[in-house]
Amino acid sequence: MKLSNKLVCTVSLLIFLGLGLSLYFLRFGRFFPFGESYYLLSVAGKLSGRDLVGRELGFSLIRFVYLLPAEIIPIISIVVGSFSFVFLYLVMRRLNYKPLRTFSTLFLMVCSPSIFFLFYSATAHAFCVFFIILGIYFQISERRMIYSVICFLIGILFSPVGIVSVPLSLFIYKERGYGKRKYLLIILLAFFVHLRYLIKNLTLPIVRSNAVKVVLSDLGSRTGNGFFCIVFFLMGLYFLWKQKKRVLLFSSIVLAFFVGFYFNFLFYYISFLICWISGTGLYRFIKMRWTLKFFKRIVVGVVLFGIAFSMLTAFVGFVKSEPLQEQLDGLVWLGAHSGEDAVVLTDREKGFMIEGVANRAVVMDDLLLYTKDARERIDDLNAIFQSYSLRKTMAFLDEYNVSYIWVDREMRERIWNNEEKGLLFVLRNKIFKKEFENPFVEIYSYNPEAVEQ
Amino acid sequence: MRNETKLLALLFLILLGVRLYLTFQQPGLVLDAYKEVRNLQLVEKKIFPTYDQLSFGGKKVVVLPLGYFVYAFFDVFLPKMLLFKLLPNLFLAGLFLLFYWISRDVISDKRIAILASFACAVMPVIFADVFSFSTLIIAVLVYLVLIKFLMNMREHNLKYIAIIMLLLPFIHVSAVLIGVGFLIYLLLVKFERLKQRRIELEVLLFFFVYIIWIYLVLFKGALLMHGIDVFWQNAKHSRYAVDFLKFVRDVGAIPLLCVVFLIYKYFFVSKDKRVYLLTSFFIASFVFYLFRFLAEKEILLLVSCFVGLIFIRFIEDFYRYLSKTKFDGVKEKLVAGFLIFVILMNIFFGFVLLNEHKKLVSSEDSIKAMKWLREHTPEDAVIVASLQEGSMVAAIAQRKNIADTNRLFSKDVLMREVDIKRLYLTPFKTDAVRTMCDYNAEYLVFSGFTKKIFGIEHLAFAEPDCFELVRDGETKIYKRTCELKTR
Repeated sequence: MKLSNKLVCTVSLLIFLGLGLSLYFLRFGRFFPFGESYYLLSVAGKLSGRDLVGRELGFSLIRFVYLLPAEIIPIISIVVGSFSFVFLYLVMRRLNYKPLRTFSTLFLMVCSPSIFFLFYSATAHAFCVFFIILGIYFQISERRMIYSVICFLIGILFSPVGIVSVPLSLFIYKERGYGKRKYLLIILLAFFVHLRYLIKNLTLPIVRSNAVKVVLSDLGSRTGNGFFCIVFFLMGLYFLWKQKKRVLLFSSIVLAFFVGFYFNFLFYYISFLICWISGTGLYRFIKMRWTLKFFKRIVVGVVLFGIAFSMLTAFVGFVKSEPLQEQLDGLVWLGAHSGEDAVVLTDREKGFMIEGVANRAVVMDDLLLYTKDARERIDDLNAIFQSYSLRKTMAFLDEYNVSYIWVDREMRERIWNNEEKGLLFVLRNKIFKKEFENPFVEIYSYNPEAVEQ
Repeated sequence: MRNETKLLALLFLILLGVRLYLTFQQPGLVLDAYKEVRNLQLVEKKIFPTYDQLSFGGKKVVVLPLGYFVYAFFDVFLPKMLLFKLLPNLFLAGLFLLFYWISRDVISDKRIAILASFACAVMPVIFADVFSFSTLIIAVLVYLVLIKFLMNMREHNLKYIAIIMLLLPFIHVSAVLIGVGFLIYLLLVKFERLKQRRIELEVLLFFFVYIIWIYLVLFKGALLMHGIDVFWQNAKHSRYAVDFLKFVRDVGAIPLLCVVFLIYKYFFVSKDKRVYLLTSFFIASFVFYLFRFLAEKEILLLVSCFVGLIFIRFIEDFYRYLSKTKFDGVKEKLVAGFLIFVILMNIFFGFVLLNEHKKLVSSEDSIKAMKWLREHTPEDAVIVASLQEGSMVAAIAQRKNIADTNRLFSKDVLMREVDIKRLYLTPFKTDAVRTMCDYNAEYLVFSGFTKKIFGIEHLAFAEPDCFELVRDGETKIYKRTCELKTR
């Protein structure tokens, strides 16, 4: 069968839809892998005001999406992802890409755990990315600049990161001569919707991740890409470098990586750039003339399988990722048996889950960028998890008005190495009562009056 | 039989004889080798073992099985003692023949080639490695064969190269080093603006991609669990200290000096792709040594082999250089004299290193103690032993240990190591009982080696009411008779 652009697009789409729907049905009942999606569920009803931790809420169109039933949201996101691939394909066709090059780029994108996670988790970034891609498509389709500007505008109303559409659009204008610059001012104006909130609430990142870990999905990162993708990205950079005309592009890549190491979610956007450049590398690699045909077949096969393998293992990770059914049982119990104003003490990684499903406040969640006293709260949490002092623990719990404590097996292994130490030791005291227990989760209530009785 | 062949055979037999004499002086193997013995047992049960029930009380493992297949084949008809002692030493002595095979392409004078190869085969690290049992030894042999083929890459060699490359990742994890070496070689050729043969580029690229993919698949779980710590086999906290003086002594001071000179010459004066190929492996192994990606003994063995290969080339250059001087008439004698001096120096430092290795060899009594454990304890018993002796517990006693040096896939390795140390050093009975109860451990091994590493003469907490001495001798075994319930 001859490789054609349409075939490439159809196959890529089928792979993405297949993976997305498989994940949906394999995780049926616990739709999202844990993360920001649960936070969005909890703030969906609060179109203004404050979230459960007490932070001021900014504006984003994503909250309107989360007003829909939770079961539908991943499906919508998968559909949005599929359309993103279709428009990417149309962009490549407009750029006169050969089928093999389209295949290389789309295959890398479909097999990118970061891009897959982005679209499945249905965060604001997924929709922002979709509208940027759509905007780019309209821009290079010519005579449709106004549609392009509208798309960029909507993108930016989903996430302030949508501002990248401005330099992107300028880049396309400079390189290809498509579009008009004057419209871009409108996009800049849209950014002002976010500006007040960002100036007031955005804090400097306090937890910087390991650079290698963030970039490589093989090390467990959700923002990263497979090893082979990164290898071909470097190869693609080498080929671009040889053209000697890409100073702006190279500067942007370096800047994007530098900022991305601090603001990890940016890698969802950078992944597209990585896959695009990797596509060039992979295309050149496949096109390379080999004297040993047998070796070529093995190497190309290994490379393609290697790229797909990274996605498959990441996919298995997504299937197995929390929340597990036992955790959902615990969350349902917590939502039904605790007061509406109850505050739950748990690890910050579980924060979104408790906020989203049980709809209860937590001491800290993973939304560090918009939490003014994040450093203080993280330090307090770390101290209390390792403290043996009942007095100190009680003072902390009283300070944050904590009434429930959530401990699960994953936390036991990661924080306390399965030992009865720190907070687990303190929890033996009678002021803590085990209210809920299953093989994975324990929920304790905190009643300081038990000391006085 | 020609004189050279006789000399070759004689030197090989002498080398093998000396190695066997030295290895049979001690009853056991170095403690690290029991990890390999345990892996062999696992491979004999299942071709691709994924779980070890005894290590760390039961955990996942990744075992590259091909090297063990070789040992397992001989295990069918060789007694264990011969298998663990004879085979590794036979292979290491065989390095001499391999060095000679490679040197025949480089050195024109056969007798000089024999002497140079012998000098390489008795480099301190190689010479002193008489108590080891490892698949790395097999891997090293295969690396040398591969290098020989690569140095004479022709169409008819390709099938051998392809086969070796396909098998290499399944022998020993150090195959990564060969992949890195290839990459450095490609870069060197590029930087030096030499003509890269298409076929060479394709073969090396093939190997690089293949090895990365294989290890990505095999070590996927470990990568996800440990992240980049997997490069240090989850033992980042207990890496050896980089000591250049020790490095020079162990690899061989004179060969190393010659190698540095030769590298200088071929980087700044003239150019030769063969030297670049060997230099690339040397650089890769040196980088691995600096980053401590493999165990110190393993990486030094590899460095020594690559130094040996470059040293052979140095001897040829030296020999040729003498032909252009007034010493042309006596060049054979001069080079032979130099090589004999190198051999003597290598053997001297080899003995120094050997004495250090002897301290890490398991004693006869500790082996007996392990056998005692196998016969007198329940099958599901958990035994406390020092980290280094942990693999002995699994391999000989066939019982669960708390920790050993096979740290991959252990989440709480640091905690276990601290607990073991605390257990031996604590003066408090309750502390010891609690720690043992935490791991469900019932027996504790207190050997001469444990005394040495912890600097203690007796266990302060071991009183008869809670710790019954069930085996006395140089290696004592205590049975815990108390229980401490925490709740």
